[in-house]
Amino acid sequence: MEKIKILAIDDEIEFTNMIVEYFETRGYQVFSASKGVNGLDMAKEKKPDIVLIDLKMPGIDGDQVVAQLKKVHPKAKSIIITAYMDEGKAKKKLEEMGVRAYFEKPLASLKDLEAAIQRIVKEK
Amino acid sequence: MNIYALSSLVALIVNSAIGIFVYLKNKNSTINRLFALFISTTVLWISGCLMESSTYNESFALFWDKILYTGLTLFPATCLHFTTTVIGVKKDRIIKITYLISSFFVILNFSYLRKYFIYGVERKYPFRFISEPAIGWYIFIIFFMACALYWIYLTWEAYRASSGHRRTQMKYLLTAWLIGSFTCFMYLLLVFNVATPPIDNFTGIVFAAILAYAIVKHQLMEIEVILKKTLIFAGLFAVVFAVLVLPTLIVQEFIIRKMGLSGRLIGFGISTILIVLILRPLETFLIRITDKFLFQKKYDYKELLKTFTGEVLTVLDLTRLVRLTTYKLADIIKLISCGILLFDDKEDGYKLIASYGIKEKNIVLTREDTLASFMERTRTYLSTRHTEKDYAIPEDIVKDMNRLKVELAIPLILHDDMIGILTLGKKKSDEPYTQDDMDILLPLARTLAIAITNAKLFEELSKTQAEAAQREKMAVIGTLSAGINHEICNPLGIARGQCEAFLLNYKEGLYKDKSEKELLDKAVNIMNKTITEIDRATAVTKRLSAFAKPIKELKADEVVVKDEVHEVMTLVGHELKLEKIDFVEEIPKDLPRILADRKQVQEIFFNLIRNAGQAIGENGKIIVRAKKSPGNKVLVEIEDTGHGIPEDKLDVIFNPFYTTKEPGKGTGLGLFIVRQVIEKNRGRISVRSKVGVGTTFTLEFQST
Repeated sequence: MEKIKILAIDDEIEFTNMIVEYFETRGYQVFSASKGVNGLDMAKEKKPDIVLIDLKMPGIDGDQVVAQLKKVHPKAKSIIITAYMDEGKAKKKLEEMGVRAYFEKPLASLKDLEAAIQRIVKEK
Repeated sequence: MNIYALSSLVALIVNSAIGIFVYLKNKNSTINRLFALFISTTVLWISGCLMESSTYNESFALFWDKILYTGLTLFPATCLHFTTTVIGVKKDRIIKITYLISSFFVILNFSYLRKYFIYGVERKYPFRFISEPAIGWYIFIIFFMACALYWIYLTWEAYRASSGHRRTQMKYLLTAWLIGSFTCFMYLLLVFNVATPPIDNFTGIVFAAILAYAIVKHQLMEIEVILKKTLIFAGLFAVVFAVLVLPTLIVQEFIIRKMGLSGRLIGFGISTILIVLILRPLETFLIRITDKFLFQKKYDYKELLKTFTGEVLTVLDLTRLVRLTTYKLADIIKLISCGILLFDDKEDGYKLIASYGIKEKNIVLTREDTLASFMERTRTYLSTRHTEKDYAIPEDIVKDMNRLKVELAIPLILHDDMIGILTLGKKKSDEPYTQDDMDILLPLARTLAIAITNAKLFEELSKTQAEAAQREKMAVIGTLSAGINHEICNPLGIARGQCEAFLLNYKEGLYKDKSEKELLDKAVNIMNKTITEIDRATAVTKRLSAFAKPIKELKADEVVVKDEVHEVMTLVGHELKLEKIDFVEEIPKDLPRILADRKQVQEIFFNLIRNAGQAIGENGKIIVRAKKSPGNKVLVEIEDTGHGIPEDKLDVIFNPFYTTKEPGKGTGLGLFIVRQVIEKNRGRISVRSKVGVGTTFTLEFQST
């Protein structure tokens, strides 16, 4: 079975490092980018199955990344991971845009994230 | 110089001083002039005694005996004249006759026929010459006693018919006559071969002092106070004079030894010249000093009024106002103690909140059976020495008054409400409060009541404003949480994730191929990272809680603008970054420090920078500029590229509750409070704006 490809886009480099560390150990292929623009380029190039996106970043914001991603790599399934507290409005809007899952930092458990990835990969 | 001579000298000087003092006090008053005239007869009398006590030369003594009797013979006429004038009875004929008789004796004293008045002088005692009375002398003494009895009788009648101050004045006169009679009696004993100690010289001083007081002042004063003052005055004079005379005496002795008896006259001449030259200015100086420190009766009313209307009553800080009041009152009126009690709701009583010279600090007078309740009822001032009050002061109240060292208590009344009590202690001069004092103190107390009420209201207002400012701050912090959350949750997310990843990997056997050392390195690495991230989160929460804390007291710090902008940026910076707002700082390194409360400066910058961010929304620029400005000022500009404020709204943005934000997003107090905080720190704020271009707030601070 081919390795699941994950792309993590977050301006917090330590966060992406941590994601890389966890998922690579478990046999995933993980790429990371600290800016939206780089992330989109990488998505085009690496064709990841899952893209983990931070909502608030310098430069292009997460929601724009989600929108752009549909153009550059429509097959990618996006998951939002953010520390930006919101009253659900943005969440709903993002779900309408095709975002598959929404996580808040700090993550309750990396296991949850992994389970979500596993589930979403199997989804259509 | 023997004790008789010395005491005569003191009496001579003091009596002269008293005469001059009274005369200078009111040159135009007949009473004062007559008193000076009459005292000068006693001065002649005493100088005779002085000379007779200090010589061995009979002809010299005889000459001074004539001087002595010039004074003594004129005494009855001048004294009677003085007495009738003070009492205010017209006895012109009798006075004329006494002057005639006195004049007759004066002529007799200097005439060839003096032997029928006084034979001569004889050195009966080792300490002085004394006159040998002849037949005329006895006649004169009868005349003298008749006059004395007459003026005592007149005074007694006047005393019985009078009341109030006048009665007191008459009491003084009678006291003086009593002491005067004693003095004369002592002198007569000398003539009648009884060697008495020189008490008469001192009683002579007291006699003159009491009379002087009775006519110069018209208020009550304890006899002992006069005695005290007179003695201080006499003592002071004696000391100064002794210092002055000593060298003269030494010179005199030296010359006598060299030149024999004729030297005595030269020595005496030197003394006289010295006395004439130095004594007068010295006297004037001492009178001035004594008048200031001992007869401290007229403090400067003008100064009191000027100080209070100009410096004290305009103070809006309650604590400072009451402290300044007690201090200035005590200083200007020269009081031993002074205090202010204000009604306190919590204590349900009057609490001493400022005092001067009162040892006990925590005094609260309840509204039952205290000085306060008494004053609430009477609504008028209360004086311990007020003689015209016809009720006795209850014992409990006297106790209160002693605790507070009160001599005069004045209620502070505003709109029928007694808000407090102003207590004044004794004057340092021991003198009572006069009508003049009351005329200025009562209006002062009324004005003070208004000033205190104003200060209290102002204090309450500031408290309300401070509370509003705090609420606003908390509201703003609430809206900040999105940005703050990002800054706290990110590090926590990283820390948690790293630890969890390691634990899960370990548990699931994913580290099986790793050596123990590799594993340990990994763990150390993760722990270090975790600590870094936790520190990052902690720093934010610490700043936030420091910022959220209410400001208790305004401090005057020297604030570095750059540092405070940075401090504020640690709180709002993330939010701006997330909103893609560029932050540009143009603050010169050599910018002078500003004088303001550091925390409040932070609040000001915080509010304005955040406002700017909100005005921009997303994508824009905030520029913070600072520069020196003439007159020790620093200008700080906070410029944004937001949507701007319409011109017609520029006037109202500083008003409370003006807001353009959605309901629930802002209280509308932000700029209102910013302006108040700036003004409290002696700064100013202004704004210029253009719709669609942006807004610039300009702050002006005092600099170092």
